[in-house]
Amino acid sequence: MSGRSHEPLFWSLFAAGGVLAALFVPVFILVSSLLGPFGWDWFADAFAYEGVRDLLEHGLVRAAVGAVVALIAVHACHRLRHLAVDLHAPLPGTLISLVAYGGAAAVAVLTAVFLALV
Amino acid sequence: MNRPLDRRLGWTWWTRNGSYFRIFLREATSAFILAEIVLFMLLIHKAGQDAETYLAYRDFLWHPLMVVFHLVALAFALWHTISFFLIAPNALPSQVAGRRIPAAFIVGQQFAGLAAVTLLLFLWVAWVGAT
Amino acid sequence: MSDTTIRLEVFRYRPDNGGPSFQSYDVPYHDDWVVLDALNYVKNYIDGSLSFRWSCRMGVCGSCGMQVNGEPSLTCAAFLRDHMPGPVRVEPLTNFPVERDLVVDMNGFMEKLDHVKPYLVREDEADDLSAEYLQTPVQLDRYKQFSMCINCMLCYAACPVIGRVDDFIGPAALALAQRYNLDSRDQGKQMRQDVIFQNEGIWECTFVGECSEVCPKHVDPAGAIQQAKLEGAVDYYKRLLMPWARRS
Repeated sequence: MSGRSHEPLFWSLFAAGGVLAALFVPVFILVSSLLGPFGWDWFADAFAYEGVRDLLEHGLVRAAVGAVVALIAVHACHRLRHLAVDLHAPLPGTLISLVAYGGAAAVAVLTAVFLALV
Repeated sequence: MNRPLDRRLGWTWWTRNGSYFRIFLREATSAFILAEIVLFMLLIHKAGQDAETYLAYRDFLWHPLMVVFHLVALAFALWHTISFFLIAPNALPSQVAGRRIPAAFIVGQQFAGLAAVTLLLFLWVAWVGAT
Repeated sequence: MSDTTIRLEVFRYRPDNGGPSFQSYDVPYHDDWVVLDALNYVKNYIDGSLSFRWSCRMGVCGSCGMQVNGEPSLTCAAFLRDHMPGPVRVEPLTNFPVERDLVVDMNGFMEKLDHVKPYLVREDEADDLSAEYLQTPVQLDRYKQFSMCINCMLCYAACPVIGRVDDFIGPAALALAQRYNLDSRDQGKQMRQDVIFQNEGIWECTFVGECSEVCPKHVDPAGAIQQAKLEGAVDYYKRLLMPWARRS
């Protein structure tokens, strides 16, 4: 017997991030990267230099953005880890996990730092 | 003499039929979601620097080739949303307080939440852009 | 006898006689024949050396599972008419070691079933075995779907994780664990959870969901495993935050 797994820790973060990704990512792509270039001025202005700083001005918005980005990063990296394993990637499982969750942690920490510097 | 034959599914399992392939696409949504998240992280980074640096990065994000990428990413993101919402009824206990919850109700609630979040974010960003 | 025939391409393997190969047989076509009827025709009239398992011919015993045109199927429920004009490729269930022709070794599966104690466990079993344990329809409804399993192993043939991890307990056994864990008469949940909350229990599963697609009894093992994952996550945090509450 190998004893109880620690996977629930990662799985629960994956699930939480999955809900956030399902809710936020489509509309985020739409307003940040599609409506502007397709000529909708409000969204072009919202992502002009002053606009984006206004969007991120409030402390609560920054905290929420940081938390949502962190959880979605864990979600995506957890899934990529399992996809790599399910595709029989010829690497040790612990190495794949280390790269995946290390990458997610890096995105979370860097985003928090960048948010603080805006 | 007894030599059982090994016929396990190998790494190409996802090419065997359509439903395996749809699952492969579902898992692959994570690559596009991660890419968009990293692009967003860099956008926040540039927003903390001077206007020129920021606008150069934004113009890269809005380059026609990147817009094509965003469209593909949006398709994958929507596939994540749909597949994730459809799974949810399976993960929840079949009864609450002795009563069965119809799967359609759970799925419907989630899409209602999606509509609300989408509308709110859309209006908020539009409002910041308009003022 | 009808004049129409249909071609079967049957997987042959005799361990003392070279590697695996496919052998073609032309059998009479009937509207109401299933693949198992065609295999029995081959066995009785064309080639008595062909080996395969079957018993009830009516989707109850779960012993005639094979790959029919690549899809794990009960051959007693796979009609030839759905595969006209043929050919119909018949292979042993994927993921299992093949003993001979269409016969697979199911010992690994039987051991996995054993791990999850798929029976009612009582701590206070009466010595005379005369005790009654009543159950309401609502209590029955909680687990009934997961109790329909006939151990046909189609779900194991459909699972890519089984192909990768020999020790993965797998869909049918995990659905049965959930079946007994949800049963109001059972007291063995703790023992089963010690097994299914390991990596080789539910946590190897990546919800490909093909197990539920191929299940002839609509057991939905993938759903059972997802439910168990949610319980496992809650249990994990409980044990983490309240270590004094651990029973085992």
